[in-house]
Amino acid sequence: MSESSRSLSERLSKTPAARHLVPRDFVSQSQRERMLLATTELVAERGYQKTTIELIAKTARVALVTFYEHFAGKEECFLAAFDETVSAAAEAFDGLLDPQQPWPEQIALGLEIFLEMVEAEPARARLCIVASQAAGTVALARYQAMLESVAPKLREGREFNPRASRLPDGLEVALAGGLVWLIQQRLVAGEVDGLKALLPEMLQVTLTPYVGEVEAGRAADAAQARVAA
Amino acid sequence: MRRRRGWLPEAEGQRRARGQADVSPRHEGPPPGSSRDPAHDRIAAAMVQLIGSRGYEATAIETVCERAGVERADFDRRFAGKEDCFLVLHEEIAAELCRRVNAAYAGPAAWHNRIWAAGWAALNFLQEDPVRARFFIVELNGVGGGAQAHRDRILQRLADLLDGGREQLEDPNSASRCTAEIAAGSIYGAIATKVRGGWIDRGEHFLPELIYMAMLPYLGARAAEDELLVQPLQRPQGRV
Repeated sequence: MSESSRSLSERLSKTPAARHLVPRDFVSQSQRERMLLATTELVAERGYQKTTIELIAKTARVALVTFYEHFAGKEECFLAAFDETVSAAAEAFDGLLDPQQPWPEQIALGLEIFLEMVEAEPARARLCIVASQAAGTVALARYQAMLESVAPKLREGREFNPRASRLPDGLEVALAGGLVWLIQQRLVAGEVDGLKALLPEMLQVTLTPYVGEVEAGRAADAAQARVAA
Repeated sequence: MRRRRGWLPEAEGQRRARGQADVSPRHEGPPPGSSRDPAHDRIAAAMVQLIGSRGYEATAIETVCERAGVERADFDRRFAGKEDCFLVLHEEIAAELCRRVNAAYAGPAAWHNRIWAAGWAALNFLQEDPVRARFFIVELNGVGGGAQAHRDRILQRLADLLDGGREQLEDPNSASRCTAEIAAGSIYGAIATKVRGGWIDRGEHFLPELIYMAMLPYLGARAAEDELLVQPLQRPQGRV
């Protein structure tokens, strides 16, 4: 965890799976990729409800018939964009997190990667975090599944707390929801620059149930120093 | 690094030693006033009941009118459409929830006690009408982008209350409002999970879990865990 935030950005952009998080050359993309990108940008700008299939096709420079060759409708296209972003992000996490590292450091790095991704790709973050909650029941279920996918990593922290059996079952999913809601507020307000400044406080809250507030405070101080650097 | 200061007044410490928390409501307010428009009230009751039990998508305006015993024109005179009606009613329910929570939170008691009282009031409100709770929390997601702003306003209000916990820290400036926002998001998520699963009306043991999440950032892990051992008093009957 001694790398600077800059080196994390570099490592993130060089991770094969994470390349999807960086906009590619628009022209060279396949029609499907262009439609997914158009959906992402339109949904981020206008919201899911006001994004139409006609607009997606026009922005992606494909015919309507081409759209329907790939997707049954708007929802399917939206879900494909969601799934692609989430799986790319998951691969990036897998590539950058070292399970051999101490658990609190994995959490610190995981949160940092998350904030880095949101800053680098706010449109994709909006799609996954904001729009998915207002795009129908299937999308909402995917959003919930995304939160739940974080829970096992957080739950590993229970081994640090001798009274862990007392902790509520739903603690980890709730914590993930709280962290994501904090970021959601910034995305809705369009305030994504400097998100990393939130890292120490996010880390403090996340670690406290497991390692206690004193250890969590030390980790937050270290994160603070890293972010400031 | 944050350290909490001593936080329990002696009387509260003794009460908690007995395994009980003071969660009695601090204010007996009048029942929520009607809109002075009987047709509005009938539409509201039908809409909440139908959407809360069948879902937003599956509920048609015609069915709402039929259930409410009003003409479609009566509905159209009052609302621009289903979404508008949903949002107006959601706002009304939110106002009533906030009225009760604010009344419970008000007063000179220690922050810890006021959060217990507010949590009690909120949970009681949701438990007394699980269909309304479903309408209010679960079905909001089916309505679209504008509805999220409604939810976010409620969460910000919750964060306002939680943010009072900063005074419990040795250095109140060691945490910002972000901490309260994370806690608010966590608590809302935990409640939404219960409502979605249809478990919101089962037992009071859920309240200590919510209080735990509220106290965690401000009182620390150990003290927050003690909240999980508290047996809340019997829920008062009827509206508070």
